Amino acid sequence: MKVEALAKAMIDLFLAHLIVGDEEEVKEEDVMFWALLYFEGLGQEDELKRAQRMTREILAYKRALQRLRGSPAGRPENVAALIIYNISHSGPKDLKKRELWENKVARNYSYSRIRDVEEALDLIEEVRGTYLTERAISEFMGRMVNLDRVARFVEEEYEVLVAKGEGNG
Amino acid sequence: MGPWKELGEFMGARSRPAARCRAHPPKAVLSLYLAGKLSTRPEEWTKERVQALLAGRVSDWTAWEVLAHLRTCPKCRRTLAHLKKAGAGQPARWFRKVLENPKLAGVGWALAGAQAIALAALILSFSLSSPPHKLDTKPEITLPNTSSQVTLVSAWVVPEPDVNIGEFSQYLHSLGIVVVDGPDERGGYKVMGKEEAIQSLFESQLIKLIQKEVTP
Repeated sequence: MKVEALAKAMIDLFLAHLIVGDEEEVKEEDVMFWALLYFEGLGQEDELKRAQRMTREILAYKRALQRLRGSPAGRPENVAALIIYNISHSGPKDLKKRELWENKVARNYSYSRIRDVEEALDLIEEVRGTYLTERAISEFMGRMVNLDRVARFVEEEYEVLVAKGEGNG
Repeated sequence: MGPWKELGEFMGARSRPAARCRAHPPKAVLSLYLAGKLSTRPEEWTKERVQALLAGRVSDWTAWEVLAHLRTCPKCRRTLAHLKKAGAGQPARWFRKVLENPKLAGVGWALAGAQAIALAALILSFSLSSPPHKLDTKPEITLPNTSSQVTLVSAWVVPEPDVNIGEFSQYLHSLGIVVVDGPDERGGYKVMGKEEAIQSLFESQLIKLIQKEVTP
């Protein structure tokens, strides 16, 4: 096995922890370590900058989760909805996969069934490339989610990290 | 939506053809993972640890590392599915007691099913013909009473690194336990003896890992 494959699996694990709302397990130094190994393993240029950006992005989701958890009306699972949406909009489009996913959701598969990291990792594989609509995500979450609004929260947290120079390992 | 540029490229990147894993966590580690007995993550990840992980030279696998390995290794996923099916995640009552004992945290075992019984019986018959142990102080082979009423137990045990092998061998002998195989790549020995004797071995401070099998 190559180092980047292991690093990729670890980064998926960070996202899986965010999806299940276990953000305390996502530690900056660990994210930076694996992000750097991943980009070094790919042998691309600017690996340090890219690793920093990826770390900030992951930490921004973590901070948004914490922020919503700390708010009386906050819904931290909305951050999970945004992550799932973004993953679904990554990679080559796969309509067959999308159809399978929609059938699964129609058969009562929902976010409430994702109880642990292993299930979240399976979810990541299932939704990648499905290009789900906001409505499909809401159906999965069991209620309407305003993804634009959540995205603004996460962007704000990202900007805070940039300003503070965090996510630099 | 949101800051997803680098992550978007990362998630969208086509995976390279999966290189075959040559190093895998031992079955005992997968069993401990299933039983939820592994620590979550190491104190710190270092490049040395990553190299050791890739080479399968890690003795203290953590849940994160097993999970990451499983993502990349279909072979281990199959093994884990097999262990799940065989009920490896649900240890027998007496062994659950051992697992729940905080003094023995980190100790685990694999299967006690029909396959294990058959395997242990095979090993027993093999041990009668030629004892292949490599301990410095070879114990005198005195097999426990093998009448059908006695439960023989075989187990893989890994002595603590600072344990004197001669002393360890004498201790096994005092319990009436014989070594029937080993050492393996972990420095482990396959031992066999009465169930009570193996349980006593569990409770000793001389071993760091045990994987148990049962034979009637």
